[in-house]
Amino acid sequence: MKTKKILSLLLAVLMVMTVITACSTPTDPASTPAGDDTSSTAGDTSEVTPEGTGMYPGTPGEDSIVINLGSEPPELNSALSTDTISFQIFKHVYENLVMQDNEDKIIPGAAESWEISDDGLVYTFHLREGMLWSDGTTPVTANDYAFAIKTLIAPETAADYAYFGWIIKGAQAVTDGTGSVDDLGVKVVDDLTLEITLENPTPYAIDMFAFGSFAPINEAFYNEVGADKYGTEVEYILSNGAYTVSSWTHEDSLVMTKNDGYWDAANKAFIKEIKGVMIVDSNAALNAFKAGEVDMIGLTGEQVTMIKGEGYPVNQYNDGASWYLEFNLDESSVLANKNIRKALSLAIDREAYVATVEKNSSQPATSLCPPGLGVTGIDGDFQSKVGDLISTTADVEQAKTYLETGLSELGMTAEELGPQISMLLDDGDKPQLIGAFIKEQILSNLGVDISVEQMTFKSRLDRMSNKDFSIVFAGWGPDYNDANTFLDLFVTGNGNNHTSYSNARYDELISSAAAETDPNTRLEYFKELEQIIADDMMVTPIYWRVRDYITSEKVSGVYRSMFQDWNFVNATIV
Amino acid sequence: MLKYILKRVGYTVVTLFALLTLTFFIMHALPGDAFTGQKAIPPEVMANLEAKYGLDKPIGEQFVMYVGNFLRGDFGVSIKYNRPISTIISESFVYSLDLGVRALLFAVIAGVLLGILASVKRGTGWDTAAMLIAIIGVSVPSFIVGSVLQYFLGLQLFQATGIKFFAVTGWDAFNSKILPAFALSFGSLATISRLMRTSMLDVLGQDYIKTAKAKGLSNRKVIWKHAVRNAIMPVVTVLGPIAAAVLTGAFVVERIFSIPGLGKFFVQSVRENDYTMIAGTTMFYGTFLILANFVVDLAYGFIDPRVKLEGGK
Repeated sequence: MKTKKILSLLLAVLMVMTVITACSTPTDPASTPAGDDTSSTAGDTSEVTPEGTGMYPGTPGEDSIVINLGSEPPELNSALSTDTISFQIFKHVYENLVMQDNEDKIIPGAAESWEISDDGLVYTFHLREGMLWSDGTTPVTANDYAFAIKTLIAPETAADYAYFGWIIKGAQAVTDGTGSVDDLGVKVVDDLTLEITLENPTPYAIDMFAFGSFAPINEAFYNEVGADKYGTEVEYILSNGAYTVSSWTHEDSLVMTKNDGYWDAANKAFIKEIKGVMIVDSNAALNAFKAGEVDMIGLTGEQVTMIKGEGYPVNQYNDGASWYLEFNLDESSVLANKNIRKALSLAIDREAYVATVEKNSSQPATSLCPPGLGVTGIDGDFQSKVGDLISTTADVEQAKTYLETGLSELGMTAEELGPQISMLLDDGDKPQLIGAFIKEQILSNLGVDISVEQMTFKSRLDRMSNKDFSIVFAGWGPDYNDANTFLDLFVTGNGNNHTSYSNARYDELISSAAAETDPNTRLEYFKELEQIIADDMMVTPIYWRVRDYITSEKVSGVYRSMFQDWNFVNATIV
Repeated sequence: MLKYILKRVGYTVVTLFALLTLTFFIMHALPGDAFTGQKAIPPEVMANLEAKYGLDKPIGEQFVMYVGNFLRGDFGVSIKYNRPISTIISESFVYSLDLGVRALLFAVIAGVLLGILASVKRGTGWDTAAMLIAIIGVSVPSFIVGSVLQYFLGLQLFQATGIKFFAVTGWDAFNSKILPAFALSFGSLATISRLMRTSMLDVLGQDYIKTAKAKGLSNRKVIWKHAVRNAIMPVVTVLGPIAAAVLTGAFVVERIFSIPGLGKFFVQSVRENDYTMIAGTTMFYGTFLILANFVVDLAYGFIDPRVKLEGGK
């Protein structure tokens, strides 16, 4: 009898522990769909340095820190990489022609100056003298940047991001095999002068030259190690930035060490060594942080509440990702009906969504483009000029009116409509929560019972490309600091437009904006595009992501922003 | 004996070929392609990618190439990581093997001792305690054992004492290897201890044990010399499957303790349609499992001469 009691008590304790420990989710930033690239805010980067709480002093090293990368960079080949983590490492180890400061503003990098022709088509970059590659002997020349572009767009490279190079004249023809590199708008004038000619006067081109895909590649080194090996191991990396990759144990850790030969080494990289570990599990990451094994980690919603409860400062940054519901407008879908789409959108309480699902500092969305994202040549962020086009709370009355109109157009009842709508989500705990929330909102506010299907990521993409869905929850992160990066998604035929949406006015505005050089006219085009989205509701924005993270008391001056997820080039150790 | 071995080798080859074939067709039947991520890839780029990995060829031709490459021992290059599969497997399996061997040794030694203790002290508090451990071990999955150990012994103990008895993550110093090895071994330890207890009780009731006791042999001698040697046979039998499970099933424990083992590549490759990686890891694990069972069958014959390794049917 006694043993039975002890046994039941023990089992009860175990069950409680199971609940406590089982709710772990991946922290890895690359696994969250949006922000395939870079992330977070111009402007509202808040950085709190925890002082004197004495709670989490951090790792023991005096001139080194440890951060959690969350997962392995699949490869460090700037022509092939597409993931967030690789791009953050590139920001530390490569010096692009231009770089970004802490506020994501473009500053001179390898090029100390540049001129742009009056028609906005020709960029002439003047490189600094005396820059060296990390081998300490090879000079950095204009050819290194030209070769990087040629490698990016070459058909044999088969780079996912080749299309970023297509802003350059003749580049697309090189990729699809119809054109020659000889006709490419990239010209090495001399060792320190590079001339790039664009296809169109792309106003945000200068921002793109700071992007990881345009990092320099030394031609001789690339050919020596071979295209298949370049950037896959530490010995196959040659860099020219503030840091070098000094060791890389796959799936375990990657160490970056200060590059003393960097041209601005006196004013950058105060921390000698940055070790990135790859802890996937969010509970394990927090335990490692608390045990003084890691100095910076990202937090899940539950962890934010926990850490704030301890009185330890939690930092935030807006990573620029916008999350929205994409509706299938294909004629076979009931969501081809605009009134039904509007009803669904109005039935969702976005404030409640953030409070119950995200549980962090993310904001309910009121338009597609997130705050902090700009329009080239215009001061301030774009979102504040657009204003709030969507209500952050549910408007049940209006939603019901739209629903009734929609139902009578379709000749259906609310009970008949529900089974026609299926929402696709990835597998995992968080998507399950998202699905449950959206389903519940639509059911309780409209009386329409939609179905939710969870599946693997690849299955979802397959269903989406076959138009076999009604709603998907999707996110997008900005590639460059211009509203075009979001708004051109819904042009007719864009591979990322899963909605089948096609609107001649929309397409016309996007192509006009691409050819327009006057910033104010472009701004007006973009504002109209946001309005079209709010009227047509092929997508409905749900929230703008803000990420929470903590740093140990050891680190100061970390910048995390929309276009540099993390940047330690200017950080120091307290 | 030689005939038996040859026959088994023959079966192994046939099994592996079936595995190779099934893997190929099942993985190509997975929804989606190997390349598309969150962002769509323009058709021109997609064509270049398919050409690069030979996926633009007819499926039959791809299969012939695939089998040919395997016969030459060429596992190809991972689509995601762009590194040779053989390099990835050899680098990461070292960690899984290290972890697995430690876990296995601990499970066998502790499990056998616990089983002996429970059987000898049958019906006492020792027996109850040992079997309680066994019940918990069998019913609590390794990710909970791992998380609980990490939280209490890795973190709380450090916070309470300021001394790092156990590292929370990683796989380098000795103090980082204890918790993961224990977490991984716990389930097998429980299985072994239960098996050992049952088998010991069976043996202890045999006539020859009574004879030994009647001869006036000490209790210790009876147990260690006469009982354990015979009672351990069933444990040896399950050692094959247990070794395979421990060496290949460490994915969850590796994830919790952030150990760069092979498990992750195996699981993720399927989610990411990394065809070359799926094929490489499946064939590696498949060969490993078949070999592990084969070795145990052979060992069985050596330990118990009554077992005849003939026919192999």
